[in-house]
Amino acid sequence: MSRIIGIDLGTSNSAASIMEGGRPTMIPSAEGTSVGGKSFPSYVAFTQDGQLLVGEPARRQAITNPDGTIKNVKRKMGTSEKVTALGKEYTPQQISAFILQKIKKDAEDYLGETIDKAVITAPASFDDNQRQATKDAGAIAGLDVVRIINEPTAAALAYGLDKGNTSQKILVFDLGGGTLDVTIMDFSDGVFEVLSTSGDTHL
Amino acid sequence: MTGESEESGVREEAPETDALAEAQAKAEEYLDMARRVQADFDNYRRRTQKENEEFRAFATAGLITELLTIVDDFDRALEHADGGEVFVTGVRGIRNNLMKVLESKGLSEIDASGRFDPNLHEALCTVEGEEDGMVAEVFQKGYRLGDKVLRYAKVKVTRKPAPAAPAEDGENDGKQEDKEE
Repeated sequence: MSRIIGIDLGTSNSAASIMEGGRPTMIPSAEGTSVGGKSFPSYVAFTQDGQLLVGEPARRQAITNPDGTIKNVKRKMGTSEKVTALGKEYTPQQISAFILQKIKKDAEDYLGETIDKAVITAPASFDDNQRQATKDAGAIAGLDVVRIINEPTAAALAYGLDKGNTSQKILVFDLGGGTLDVTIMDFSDGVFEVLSTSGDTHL
Repeated sequence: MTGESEESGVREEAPETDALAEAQAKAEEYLDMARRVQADFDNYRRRTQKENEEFRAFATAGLITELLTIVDDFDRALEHADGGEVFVTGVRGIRNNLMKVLESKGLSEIDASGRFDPNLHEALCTVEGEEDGMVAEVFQKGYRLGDKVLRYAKVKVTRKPAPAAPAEDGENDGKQEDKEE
């Protein structure tokens, strides 16, 4: 009876949650006192003395270690671009995997059980390559990504818009740290369909 | 969400086995549901207990964090108080008393000398230095409450200037574009 966590793998910030008693509950980042409450910045850093830092600690040292700190890697997902940290090359999937590993560990500490399945959200504008890259990142992190769902769909589900059984048009306005996404969706017969999505991918 | 009552096609031939199978499926579903609820509840109880303990320990965290700015003010006032020996002694006394109260609630100052540690310090800027990664200046002191960091020390960190000949430039283009905050 393994549980599935939901992950928002964001450009600037990331977070995870779990269904508990039929409601989603945020899983707090282990560092606790992050600026974004229970989420944490999507930073990964390799220090000169060989440490791997993810989240708040990576952000706090970013300015002293610009060559070893990577952020906004989501923008490179699904491309063949590599990122370089301290002279070593990584794929965007590998860097995202470090973020997912931290989430996995935080979730396991919080829930007291092993987590190996996850649903990860992706922007409605993500193409197949970008979605596959997100899945690959999950696999590297030891997570079986059972589904990639659109971020606006996840938002609509969180508000229970699928429960009303009424057909409707939904506009989701997502002003994030790194991107702005505005999506119009149609909901009918239990299915969300993205009609249009736009925004600014580089705030 | 898949309907289990829609197997009416089979019902004509073997109504009893069908009803039995249906009941068994239902029983299994309920058992599964009960297990899930039990697991959720166990988790919930465990976590609530942990959160309660944490709440008790850190209930004053918000207040103390706000008071820290006043401690800062005292520090600044004292730094710039010329002469007026008695006044300075007085203010220093107040500052120390306030700190004593806060320390009795578990507050302690974070040591921000020596090597930069991202688990305790936040780097605001860098300055050239003999060695990499040493704290050169503290802009704002950091504090702990118990073993939890309440506020990270905001610091300036040394960087050893790079040796004169820079390596191949072309490799770095992946990173440089992400300048925005």
